[in-house]
Amino acid sequence: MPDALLSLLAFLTAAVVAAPGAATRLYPLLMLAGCVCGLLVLQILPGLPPVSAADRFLYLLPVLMLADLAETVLPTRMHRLLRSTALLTPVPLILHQSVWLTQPAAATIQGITPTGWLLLAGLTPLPLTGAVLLQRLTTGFSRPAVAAGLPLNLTCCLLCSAVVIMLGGYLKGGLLALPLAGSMLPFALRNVFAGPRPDRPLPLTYCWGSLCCLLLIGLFFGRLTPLQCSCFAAIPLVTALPLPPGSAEHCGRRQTVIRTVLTALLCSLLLYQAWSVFAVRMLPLLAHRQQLAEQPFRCCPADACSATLGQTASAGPPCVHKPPVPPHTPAG
Amino acid sequence: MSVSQALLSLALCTATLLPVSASAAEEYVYDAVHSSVSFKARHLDISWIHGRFNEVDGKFSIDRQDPTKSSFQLTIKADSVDTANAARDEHLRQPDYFDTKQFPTIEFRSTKVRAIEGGYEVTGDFTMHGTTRSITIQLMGGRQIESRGVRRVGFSTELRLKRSDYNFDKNAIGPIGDEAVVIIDCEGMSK
Repeated sequence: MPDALLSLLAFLTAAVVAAPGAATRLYPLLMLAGCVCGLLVLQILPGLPPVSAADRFLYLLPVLMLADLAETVLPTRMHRLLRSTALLTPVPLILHQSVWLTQPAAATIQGITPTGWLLLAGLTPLPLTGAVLLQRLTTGFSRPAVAAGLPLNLTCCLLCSAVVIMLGGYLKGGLLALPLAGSMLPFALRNVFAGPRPDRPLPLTYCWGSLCCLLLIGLFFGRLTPLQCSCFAAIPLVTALPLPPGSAEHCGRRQTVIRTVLTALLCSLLLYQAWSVFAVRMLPLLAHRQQLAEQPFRCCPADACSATLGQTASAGPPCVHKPPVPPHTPAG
Repeated sequence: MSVSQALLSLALCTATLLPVSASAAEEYVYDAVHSSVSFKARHLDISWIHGRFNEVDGKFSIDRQDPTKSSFQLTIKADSVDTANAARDEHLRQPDYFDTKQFPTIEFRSTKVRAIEGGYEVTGDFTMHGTTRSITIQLMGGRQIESRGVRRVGFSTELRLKRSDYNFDKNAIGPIGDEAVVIIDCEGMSK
């Protein structure tokens, strides 16, 4: 398993760097800076050329942020075009040159198999569609309660999906999301406690785009199931839906709490399910460890489970053979 | 047809056929039943973890008269990694290790071959995890026999690779040694 202390440090570093930004107009830049600092703590640097999906995702992050920053500079139409382009990029970029799009012996059209084209056609518009829906739900209908809770819900989803990806066995994939979530946390908390400000909207392209990229990486390269992936993508949308008329509709703070609790509950369910699968997959190894512990020849108390998976075993005393104790027999 | 024309035709035919007969290259395909590509890597620097790749394909062409014209190709399906532990195999397929969805094959293509005592010294491009490096291996063997009408030839080699040279995640290298020993024992069948 990854170093828990280092992971926490990366998360906190990202949060601390991004924190001053929550009260200024520079918050998107500081958010990105926080994420970069967190990644540096984890010693995760994008490779050049970016051959893996994780590398490509890291290069995409500034582009997503740029699309958000452009809102203040570019005319609305231009900004929309830039944001749409940025959100149409993740699927082809993440799947680039993977077995999902290319097969050595298969017939291809422009280097991509027909199945690959179908996959691209089906998945590419999803991040943009999700972003448009979220935008409508937060600003289109002027719902400050949704806008207040959405950043925290997205952060929660990002964090939980990272843990699920790590439980599936892709450690680096999950680790990538920790600085991201950390960098979003100060803005999210400020939004919840101080309320959303119209002049400081959520960098939706960055936050939602990052979640989409992470889910795609987990789904296509890790062990994230389609159901888990769909749930993590749907949670921010579901919890942003309007509540039934009369149910706390007029109390913004209570509505935010309801939405946040609902998000936490759904994420916890997914975490529990992932943990259950993890336990089942690891059962033979865990049982083996138990067997070792029960044996009279107790040997090498290293963590058999993590050691088998190639992780650092706990340091213990050298191997000591203890002969079985003969049953006590009364003298004579 | 005049005599000169006939002679010219004969000369042309001979010229066309000569390279074929002169090239004594024997073509072989990798015999998956009687071959294996296995590996071992240090675990915590106290023991070795052993594994193998179950799906391998390849072909080689051996020119006994001019060994420099020989060639060797091997393609390993990274997804077929097998360390006798399903959970670990699943982990090895993920991007922390082989990243088999991004890099489905491990390949070797020879670029230079020369005969040495007891085999061949083969230099070639070894591609793993999206990184290609030139390596030189010593293929020992090459004895040819004919069994049930099929010509067979066998080679063995052992090579040491550093995973860090092939862009593997350095955080995943720690407990498992950086260096891996790859043992190839392959048998080729004549086409």
